[in-house]
Amino acid sequence: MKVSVKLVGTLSKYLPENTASSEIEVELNGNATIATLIEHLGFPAQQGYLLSVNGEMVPASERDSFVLQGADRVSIIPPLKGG
Amino acid sequence: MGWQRKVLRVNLTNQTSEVEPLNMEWAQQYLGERGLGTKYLYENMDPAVDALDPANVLIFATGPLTGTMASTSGRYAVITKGALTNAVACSNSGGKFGAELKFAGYDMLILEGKAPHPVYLHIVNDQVNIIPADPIWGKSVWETEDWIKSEHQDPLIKVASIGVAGENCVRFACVVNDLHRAAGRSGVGAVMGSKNLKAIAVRGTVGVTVDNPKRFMEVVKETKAKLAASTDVGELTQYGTNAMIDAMQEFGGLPTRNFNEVQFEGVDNINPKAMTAVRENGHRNLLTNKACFGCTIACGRISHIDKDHFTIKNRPEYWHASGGLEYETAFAFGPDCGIDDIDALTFAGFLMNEHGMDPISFGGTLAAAMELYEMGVITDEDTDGIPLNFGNAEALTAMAEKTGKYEGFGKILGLGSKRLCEKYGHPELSMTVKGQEFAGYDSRALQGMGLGYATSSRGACHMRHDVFGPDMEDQTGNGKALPCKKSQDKVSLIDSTGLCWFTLSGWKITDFQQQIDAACEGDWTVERLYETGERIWNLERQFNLAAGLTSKDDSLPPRLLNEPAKSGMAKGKVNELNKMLPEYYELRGWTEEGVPTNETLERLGLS
Repeated sequence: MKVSVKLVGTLSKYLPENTASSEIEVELNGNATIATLIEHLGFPAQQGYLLSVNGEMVPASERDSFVLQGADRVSIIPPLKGG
Repeated sequence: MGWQRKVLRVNLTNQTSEVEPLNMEWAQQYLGERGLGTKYLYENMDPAVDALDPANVLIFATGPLTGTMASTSGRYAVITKGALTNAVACSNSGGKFGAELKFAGYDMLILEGKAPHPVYLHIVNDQVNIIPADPIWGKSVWETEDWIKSEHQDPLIKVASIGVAGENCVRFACVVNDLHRAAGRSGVGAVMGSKNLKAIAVRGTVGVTVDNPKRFMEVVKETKAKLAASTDVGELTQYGTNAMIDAMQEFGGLPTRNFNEVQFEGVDNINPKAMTAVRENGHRNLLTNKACFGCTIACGRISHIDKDHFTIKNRPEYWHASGGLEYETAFAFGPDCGIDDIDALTFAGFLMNEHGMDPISFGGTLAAAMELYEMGVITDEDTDGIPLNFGNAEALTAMAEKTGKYEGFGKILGLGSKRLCEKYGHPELSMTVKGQEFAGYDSRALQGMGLGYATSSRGACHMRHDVFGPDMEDQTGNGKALPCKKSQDKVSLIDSTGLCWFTLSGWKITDFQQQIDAACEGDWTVERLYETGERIWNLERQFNLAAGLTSKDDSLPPRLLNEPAKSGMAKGKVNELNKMLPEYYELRGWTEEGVPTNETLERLGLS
């Protein structure tokens, strides 16, 4: 199945090289979870982030068991800080 | 040590100055900068006097770590009763001025009364002169700093000054130091103007000492290494604070068109990527980054504007590089006013520094005026013929200039959004708490932020608490009161050290504790630091209660309480302040009316 993944703002540095858009399509096996996706993207374990699927926030505690569906839109957002 | 143990007190009415010993008992209870400055303010004035009355007191305070080898040790604070809010005001700034004041031998500068004519203060260590300011009264901040350096033949002198906005008591006028760093919030520059004080110029060669130099340097080395190794700090260095704009857009917490919406369609034109994009003509907005005194983060931006842009096409005086877009400036001029012209935003930011105005409050006020204009309440007759529609970049820069120079409709904008919206019969459209405009975080998406805004002692402010973590995880008001309270105490403490709280991207409270404990006399544990922060927060509350504020001032505009977010992750939600506030009062040890109980005051040594 294919899901679209948007790496927002400063996280765009984790996109594959020469990617023009901040949104990419990722091919995953059926029953893949968010944890599978994160591993597939090669995200550093220590990197904090927010994550939403189809516009709904998914808390960190639910990401290991959250099963993605084909055509899901995943947004990964850098942690919020003051400024 | 850490402290210089000296206070410089200047009576502007009598044109006299004297040096007095720092009250070390208070220093042990309130540390420095924000806390100690507020203690001196509370003990030296009646909080009920009008902010622009000569009886208001204006304090410039450093912290015990200001001017030391610690990272980010350039901070100082301006403490007074705010002209925008009529509440306690503490507005801190970086740059180099604060460290220089410390090097001159002072922990604090207390300014009382009102000069009979415009003056500026010239301090070189123990030499203090009050000098007529006629040649610079009516001049901009930038002209003032240049003139003072030339007049005293000293390019190393550090200057904090006000522009024409401050002279005319524009309610959100700020104090600008080192050309583009500012004690920006709550109208501290208007208080300075009301005292006929144009500038403070300082040179210091006394130096700073700490209690345990060997241990202090060991700790400083360790804490600097932590900052250098932090990914979050690295991103602040690389992208600046405007990195937040993409996150807030995606999250749906980016206030747009006077908080009517929470996402802005033009964000890609004003984000960090746009700042670094090279255009067809070779122009790139961002030139470099810049650090304040002693800072190893360097989040500041230095930008220039395309010479062909309408704002500066025939104005070579603005072709130089200057302070670039920070997140709050980008939000307030961009989404909040519906404008995505990065050069116009950058130019308006230049004007804020040049004329000495808070960009958050100016942008929030203009956004409210734009909504009133689109409703037909304000017309072209009011606005000097300039259409004030959302999205009009020409209106942004024209009104920034008019307000800075105190001309035409700029005089009305200079009232701030609360007074402006009341004047036109629509107080509900002012996006403020205690008269101060919101930062760029919508509290329908960030519930704890809303509680922090509502209870902030200086009015709406994002720098009085740190609830981002819990707000990220959950878009309800559940469980937000405790982290809000605890972070308010923590930030009150950090604001009293002389360091910048952007270091929290790489430090924990123990990193502050070790540096304070090594620099200052006494046994400074983490528990004592939290208690000190709580004492400061409650003292600010006592000041505000004595000034006439009540729990009714701990509120949010009806738009945020009643009009659901239209999009984003908090779509359909309003802020749940009414649920969070009673829990917060109880955790604080305050009555249901928001008054600290006798038990709380006794516990904190405030009775």
